[in-house]
Amino acid sequence: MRISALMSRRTAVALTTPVAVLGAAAMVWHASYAAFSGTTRSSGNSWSTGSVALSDDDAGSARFQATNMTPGSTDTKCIKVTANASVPGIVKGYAVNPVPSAAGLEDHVMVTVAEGNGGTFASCTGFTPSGQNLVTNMPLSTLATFHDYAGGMGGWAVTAGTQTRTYQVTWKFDATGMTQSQLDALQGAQTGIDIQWELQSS
Amino acid sequence: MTLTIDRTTERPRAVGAVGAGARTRACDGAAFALVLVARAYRALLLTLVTVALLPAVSSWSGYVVRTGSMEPSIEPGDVIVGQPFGPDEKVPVGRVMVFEAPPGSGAGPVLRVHRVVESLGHGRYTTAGDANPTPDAAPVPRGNFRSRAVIRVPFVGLPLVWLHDRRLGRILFWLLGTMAMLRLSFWRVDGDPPRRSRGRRRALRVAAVAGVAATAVAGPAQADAAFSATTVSHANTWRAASLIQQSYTAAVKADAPYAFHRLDEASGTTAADSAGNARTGTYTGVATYRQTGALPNNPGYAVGLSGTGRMVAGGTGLYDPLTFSAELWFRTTTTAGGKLIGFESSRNATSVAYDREAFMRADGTVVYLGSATTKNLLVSPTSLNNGAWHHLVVTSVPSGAQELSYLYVDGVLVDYGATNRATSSYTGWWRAGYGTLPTGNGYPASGSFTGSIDDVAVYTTALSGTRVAAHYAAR
Repeated sequence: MRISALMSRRTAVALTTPVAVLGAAAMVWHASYAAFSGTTRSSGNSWSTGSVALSDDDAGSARFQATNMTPGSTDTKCIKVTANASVPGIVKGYAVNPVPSAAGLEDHVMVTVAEGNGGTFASCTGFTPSGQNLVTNMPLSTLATFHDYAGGMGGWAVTAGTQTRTYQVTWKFDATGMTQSQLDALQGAQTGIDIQWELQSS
Repeated sequence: MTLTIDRTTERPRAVGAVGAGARTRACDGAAFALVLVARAYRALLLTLVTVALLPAVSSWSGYVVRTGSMEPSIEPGDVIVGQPFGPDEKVPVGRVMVFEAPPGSGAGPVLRVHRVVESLGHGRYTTAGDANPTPDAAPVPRGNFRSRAVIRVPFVGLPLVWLHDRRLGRILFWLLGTMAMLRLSFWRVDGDPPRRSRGRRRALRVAAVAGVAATAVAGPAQADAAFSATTVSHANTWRAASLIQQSYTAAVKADAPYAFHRLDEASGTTAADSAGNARTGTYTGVATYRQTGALPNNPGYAVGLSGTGRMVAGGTGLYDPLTFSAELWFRTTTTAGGKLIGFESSRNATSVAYDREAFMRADGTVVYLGSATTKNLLVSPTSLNNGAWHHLVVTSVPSGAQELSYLYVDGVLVDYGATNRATSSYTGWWRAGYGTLPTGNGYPASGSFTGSIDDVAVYTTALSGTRVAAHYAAR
């Protein structure tokens, strides 16, 4: 073998490890800088290998705006939730932003939630429940205590792809056992709550 | 072909000839390149592993990220090395932090690596995965932050991710490939410096294997970058009507009572007027408040009376009512009789003038008397001291020089006819319970009533039979 070839081989051998080490260090440096030097979220859905999205069909409007409730007043409405997921996950519902009333009206508006298929925000026609109710006759005040994913109701398992489920919510103003003076205190009272669904990948 | 001794390797080498020598050089060249590639891979792997294991020998922390909600910043399989985050440090908004996630549906605490996007005040922060459409739903309290992500070591955690995801094919491929590469990297080639001591080479090999094994065994903690999304039905409101009436309240108020007392108070001397005219009544000597109410479908309370106990209907006094209705509910087992409801000239225990009275005899029958006389009485056919609640209404309208009066028990007319008009005109009050009664035969020994009363209403009109029945039906 010629001396120059041998010398270049020696060089190559000697340099291999240090260069690789430097290359690794540079890779780490570059990766860290790229990952952590920024302070804004990228609009990065298009890059991710997985993503989830959840939407409902209320177009931003409130589901219930009940007025002039008297004992026994009731109503039933549906809302359709759509999950787009590229990884499996579980959807649960819970209550946020409770608006308490001075008179405790939220103790007397009882809510029943059923989960199923069929029906939309426009109409519950065709709704078929898929099992037991998620909650039955629960006062809004108690519903408000289930305010995060951990305590949420339901447990709709979604797989990769697009799936929908409809939630039927029934409320009733229940004044059982209330004396006239207690009813007088409730007159004109107002309460409110939001219902939030969350999909977390499992 | 000459044979020379290669001084560097001390191995004989065939040099110079084209044929066999050229082929040997080509293979030799390919083998040489392969070994160098293997050595580069070995160096790369060990460097990455070293950086990833840096936390094990310092106070920093390492985390393997399994999921992709922080893409493209962090890919699954990356190892994140975090700088310790002290309790006095300010949480840097906009930076990626490792923190204990608020409770989710999984068991036990979960470490999450997400970006802090907003400070909510009161030591709470909103976090978000870069690849999630919405921020994390639950805010993170200050105390949950563990470390600040500073170094990202790509690829090193992939075997752990594959292990967790049970991708045995990939693990096997990577394991065999790495083992082959490591083996290859220790082959001697032209250009290697003279042989080192055996011990040193062995130590190098052991270090290489140990390093790889360490990532699998004494590996970094797992940090979750879970995908999440939310949707909300917001601003739902419920408002009660401005007038909510029990059925009995509605029935009575439909007839515009002068005063209507439900007797639901817990204590005190005032009895509210539910007719809406603020003609507050007065309790005196009540034995028991808040007894069980008379009306099965209208929750409320009754009061218990004895001795001089009474309730005087409110207002400033009525002058000589000739057209009127008086209504109440009563329950008793007394065998001494007593005054149920009547019109008197004062609110005191006794009055100078008293008439227009309904009272119970000792035998339990109820009598209505226009003014003190033994004639022109209305009498209930049955005794009503059976311990059950009874509805009692007396109505009266002028008729010539007398009154035409009607007596209703439990919504049904039981007697009617001419009754005497009061003998004097005065301003007075309707009162239920203890009052003044005529003395003599046919009257109870005392006006004291021992029993319960409820829902007293007085009117300046005479209710029709239909309305009385409607009140009773609404109980």
